[in-house]
Amino acid sequence: MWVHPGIVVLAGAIFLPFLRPRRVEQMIFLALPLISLLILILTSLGYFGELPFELKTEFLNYDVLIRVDKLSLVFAYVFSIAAIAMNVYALHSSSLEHFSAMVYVGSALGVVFAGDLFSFYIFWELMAIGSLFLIWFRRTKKAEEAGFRYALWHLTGGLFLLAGIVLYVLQTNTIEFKAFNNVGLAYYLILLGFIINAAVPPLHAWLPDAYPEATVTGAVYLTAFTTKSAVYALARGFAGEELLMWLGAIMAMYGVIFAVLENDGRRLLAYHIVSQVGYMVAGVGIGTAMAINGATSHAFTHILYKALLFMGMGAVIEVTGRSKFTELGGLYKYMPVTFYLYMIGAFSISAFPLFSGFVSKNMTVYASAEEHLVLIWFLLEGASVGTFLHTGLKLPWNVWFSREAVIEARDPPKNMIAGMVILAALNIFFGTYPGYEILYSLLPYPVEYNPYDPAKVISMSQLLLFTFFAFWIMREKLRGEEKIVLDTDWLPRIVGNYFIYYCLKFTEFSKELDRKLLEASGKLKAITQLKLRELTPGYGVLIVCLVFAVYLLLFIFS
Amino acid sequence: MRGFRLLYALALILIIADVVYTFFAHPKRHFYWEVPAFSAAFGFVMCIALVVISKSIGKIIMKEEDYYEKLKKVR
Repeated sequence: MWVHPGIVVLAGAIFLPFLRPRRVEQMIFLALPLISLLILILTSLGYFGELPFELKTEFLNYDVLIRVDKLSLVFAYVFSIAAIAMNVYALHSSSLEHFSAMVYVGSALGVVFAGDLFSFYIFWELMAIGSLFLIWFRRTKKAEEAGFRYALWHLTGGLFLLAGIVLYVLQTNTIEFKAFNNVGLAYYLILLGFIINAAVPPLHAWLPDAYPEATVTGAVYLTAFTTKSAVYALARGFAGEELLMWLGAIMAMYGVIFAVLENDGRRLLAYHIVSQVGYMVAGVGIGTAMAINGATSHAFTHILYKALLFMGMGAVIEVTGRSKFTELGGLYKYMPVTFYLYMIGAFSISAFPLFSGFVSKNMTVYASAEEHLVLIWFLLEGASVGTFLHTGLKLPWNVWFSREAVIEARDPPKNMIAGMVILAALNIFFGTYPGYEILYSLLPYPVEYNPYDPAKVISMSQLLLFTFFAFWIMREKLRGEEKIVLDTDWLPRIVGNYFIYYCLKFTEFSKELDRKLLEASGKLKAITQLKLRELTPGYGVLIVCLVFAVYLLLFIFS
Repeated sequence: MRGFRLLYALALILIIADVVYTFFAHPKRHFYWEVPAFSAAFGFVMCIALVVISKSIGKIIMKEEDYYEKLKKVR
């Protein structure tokens, strides 16, 4: 009998807030993703039967399908592996934060194994809730507001998805989650639900808005699961959809252009999530076996290096309490270990040879060249220049060098360093032999791609080296500026602002109306000398509630 | 600087390696413009272009940090 790793993690998460003493809680917290990884390894080895397989269980009179195949396994693998390192990093945070992180991880695992649309939807929404609390636990005013905006984006996206699923099921009479047929409206509603979670511009603004406001440890989880499970969903349902190819390529460039302007370290990295997910979305859109492999492997390595980058920047925030470039600088003297570990992540995201990004990103770019998609190739290749420019050069230069130290600091607590070391080791492992062979063997299609072809190594090295030369010329221009960058959430924020304003105006108006009415009725009473009870608004509400309750009871029992 | 001398040497080695490899091994090229040292030029030009383009966009969309707070009608 196969055990669902997501259910294991979710079930374990429930106990976390109640476990005493603290040490036991931490042990369970560390064990949960390890158990999940163990189950996955056993599954790959064939302990639970031939792959791929499907399971059917009944839950509340409803058939729940669970599907285990190569595509879902590779995502589950990286979710579990990353969660191990993240849990080490987050060991010192509160047990409630542990709880919501594990709910988030468990539901992401649930998403990748869901075989039917409704259980998929339930895990999808659970993921949004788990992640929301990782933002709110920062307990600042900004985090609270950003969390509400985050929730609004995701609930809206979830509603589109639900509407699409219901329509789709009605039209096709199947609840199985596989490649969607283009049946018109339902198809596009589901796609819309997915691309909101994948942070495709112009629907991406929740990501750079909310992630930088999350807790130091929570943000590390946020980088991995929401966008990547959306990539999984797109790869499963919409492989080869041409629209995605264009959206992805634009997205890759979009994130890079906005990252130039950013002053906040984690917000810069958040824009790079948008950019990197662009590669995956483009790969899914191209839809050839190599492109899907590229997208999947890129999701795999991306989770590992992006979490490492957020950990590095998070360590700086943890120690100094600052995240803006204008308030940081010269920290190399105090935090050298953090710097080197961060740079391993930066080399990985920039696709340096021997680092993990090199074996995955270039596969997607290469797939676009194989299909002779000139513009797509140009945008993706251009975005990889920008990736190195910002995460590899601008951010470390602004935080660790660029001027004399402006604040005293030290390297972060041991468990944070340990989490970063695990991820740094994994990034080097998957970038070199035999790591990348192992990664390739996990991919959904057989791989016919040699990343260490000399031509590829030479051209990538040239690209990166000359990017560095250009950066050195312009480095003074890339200092942080004390400003914020408006993004596409400008419109909803302004509209929302007016909406709330007019709502309040309306309540004021109705209050006034209420008061006048009461006054009038009081005068009426005086005239008619009725000895009725004082008609206060409290009684009015009570009466209305009672009437509704009676209606409801009649409705239920009739 | 000494570090830079190393980098220049590396750049030279990479370009020479690219030329040699192209002439002797004839690697697969997808586009006609993929001549030796194309990536080097692409990296350099693209990097400058990115910064210039973003900074010019930034002139419009970069605002003071309390931009949204000032716009708020409800506090």
